Amino acid sequence: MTDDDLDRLLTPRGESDARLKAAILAETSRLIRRRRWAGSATKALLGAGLFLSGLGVGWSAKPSPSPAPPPAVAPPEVIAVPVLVLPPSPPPAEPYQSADRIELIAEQADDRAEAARLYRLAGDKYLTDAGEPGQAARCYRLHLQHAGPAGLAVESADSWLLTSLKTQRLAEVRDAGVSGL
Amino acid sequence: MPPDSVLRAAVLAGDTRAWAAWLDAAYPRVERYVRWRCGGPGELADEVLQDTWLTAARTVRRFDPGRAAFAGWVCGVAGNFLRNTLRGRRRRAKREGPLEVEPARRATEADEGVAVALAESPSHYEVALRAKYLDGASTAEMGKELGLSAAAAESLLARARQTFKAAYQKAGGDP
Repeated sequence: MTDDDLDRLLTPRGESDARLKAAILAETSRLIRRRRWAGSATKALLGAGLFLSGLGVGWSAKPSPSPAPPPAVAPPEVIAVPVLVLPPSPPPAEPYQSADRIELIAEQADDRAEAARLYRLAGDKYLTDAGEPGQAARCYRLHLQHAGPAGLAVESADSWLLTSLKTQRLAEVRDAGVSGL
Repeated sequence: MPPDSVLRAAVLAGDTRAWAAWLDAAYPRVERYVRWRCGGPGELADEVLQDTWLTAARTVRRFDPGRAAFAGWVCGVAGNFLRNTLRGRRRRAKREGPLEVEPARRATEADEGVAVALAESPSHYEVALRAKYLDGASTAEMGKELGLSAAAAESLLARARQTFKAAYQKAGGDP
């Protein structure tokens, strides 16, 4: 083998094959494209796996029901019934009666003490409600006649007219006793 | 043309246009190298070219742009693939025995002798022969590339030629 033979063997030969290059490009491009799909599929599978594992962890972390749960005891049912509570009513007031009506009842009373009480009440009404001191003095005098000597004691609730009449009567009694001695 | 690092990232993301541009730029050098290593165009060169590019597309993640150009990396893949292919053919030939060869196939067999001789040469001899015959470099350029003096490069090339010649004759080549 001469040096020329060696040079001929080692000198590159042949033209480029465009068809082979196109075939190689098509085949390798399919591989690259598959890599993209594989990457997307891997990401999707990874995401799904993470999601499922998350579900699993959540399921396992859920508190399991106790083996024998005590029966639930319902609290006693409280039913609130509204009750209308009225304030205590004042004692029923005596029906209003005029002074002359009370004087009439006093005249018809059989009990002298009750008649005395009614004459006094009628005298008060004549004096304060009707403004008739003459009618009041007449009723007060009848009160003192029916009340007897016990009725002559002066009280704080007595009106000025009644107090005056009692004082006058007490003086008359005292004078009569002095003159009777 | 974007740098190899950008194209690599795009290809890894599944960008077929980036792959087409990358392959288009590197293909002439790789094709030329494979045909030289295979002793010229033919069935072996076509097989090696196809499988080399398929392997490159599958294993592009291993390509390090900081260490070599993409075309150089693919040429390395082709060299490994050719060595394995020739080893497999030799094992098959020993198992099945010599075939009756038609005269038209003689040229192809002679080409395969070149491939076998190059595959069996030490790598630094293969580099020297490649620089001389494939890249057309002078001994001075070869020495600069390999970090040798021109005289040392000349000596290296002479030893590479002798080794190739012996391997070619051992492989049954008869130019």
